[in-house]
Amino acid sequence: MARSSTENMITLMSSDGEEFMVTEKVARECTTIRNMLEDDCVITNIPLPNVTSDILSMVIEYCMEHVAAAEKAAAETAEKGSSSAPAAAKANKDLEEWDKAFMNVDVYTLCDLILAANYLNVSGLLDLTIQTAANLIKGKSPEQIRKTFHIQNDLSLEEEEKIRSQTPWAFEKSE
Amino acid sequence: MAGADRISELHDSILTRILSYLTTKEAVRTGILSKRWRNLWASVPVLDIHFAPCENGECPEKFVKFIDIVLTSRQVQLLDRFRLVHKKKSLFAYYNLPLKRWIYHVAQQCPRVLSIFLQRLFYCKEIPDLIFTCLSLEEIEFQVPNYEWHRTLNPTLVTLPHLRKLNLGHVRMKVDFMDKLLLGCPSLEELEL
Repeated sequence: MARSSTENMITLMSSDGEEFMVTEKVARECTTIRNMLEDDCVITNIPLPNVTSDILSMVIEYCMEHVAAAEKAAAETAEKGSSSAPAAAKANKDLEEWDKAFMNVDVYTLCDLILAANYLNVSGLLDLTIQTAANLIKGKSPEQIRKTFHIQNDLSLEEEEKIRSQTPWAFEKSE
Repeated sequence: MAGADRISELHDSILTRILSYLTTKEAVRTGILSKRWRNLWASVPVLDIHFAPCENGECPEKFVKFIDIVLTSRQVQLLDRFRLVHKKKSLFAYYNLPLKRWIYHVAQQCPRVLSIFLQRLFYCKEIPDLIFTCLSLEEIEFQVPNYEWHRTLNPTLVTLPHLRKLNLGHVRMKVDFMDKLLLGCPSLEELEL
């Protein structure tokens, strides 16, 4: 039973009509899809009108990597009876490194990934992308943040001055 | 597509989650980015405030005003975490922090975690009893050095049904208070004194 469920294939269709065949196990990493499968277990074709093919392929890549890492850890535990702490720590570190490399994207892709992770409800990917966005804000001046994310400043000088005078400490240097 | 401001299109709930990874100082500073960002900081469920006056000096009065504004401008009812860290380096920073007032505001917003760490030499005679009856709390870290704690730290009532972690720094306390603590915190897993 467990075996057949890992080998069921699901087709995910992106907003631009591209089809992606994934194992049910990988698809289930998306809570939104998991809920659909639980409501209707014969479903094999899922249209995702909010996700483009390039972003969907990245989400799938992320899910596959994390499923593979979890399977590898489970297999090692089964083989040795118990998981060895150093091996588990190394596996975790490897996965963290992979995540870090995976987040080497431009801000547009990052925002699209946040939207997709939120819509598909992939909690690990949502945390990762949100943390990455926060890191892009950290330690930067307002002007640098605007430049990074192409934010247009539509505040008037008076409005800006009012914000600064309300919380002057926030605009003092040093953290 | 190039030059488009994608991040500002994200839903408030996502943007406030992004801001919750920053210190409150940094989060409030994003209010000046544009109209879209102006009030977002007031909905962030985490307050994480650090003050470290250095040689060139951050102004203590502004710091106090900042916390007052942040606590009274909140646009959400619930606060997940409140963390205040004050590392005093200069002897001149000997001044009164309105800790009681702040804790009063924090306690009204059902915090899960309350963490206050003040360096030595602060004038703070009492821990408000309010902390010990704030039902939502799961973690308390309260490290405020005071040689008088064993006389002043004696809340009439301790009711913290969900409290798992309690760290009161190096506090000497009355046996009476210890009894109240153990009876009033049935979920306690970690106690550091």
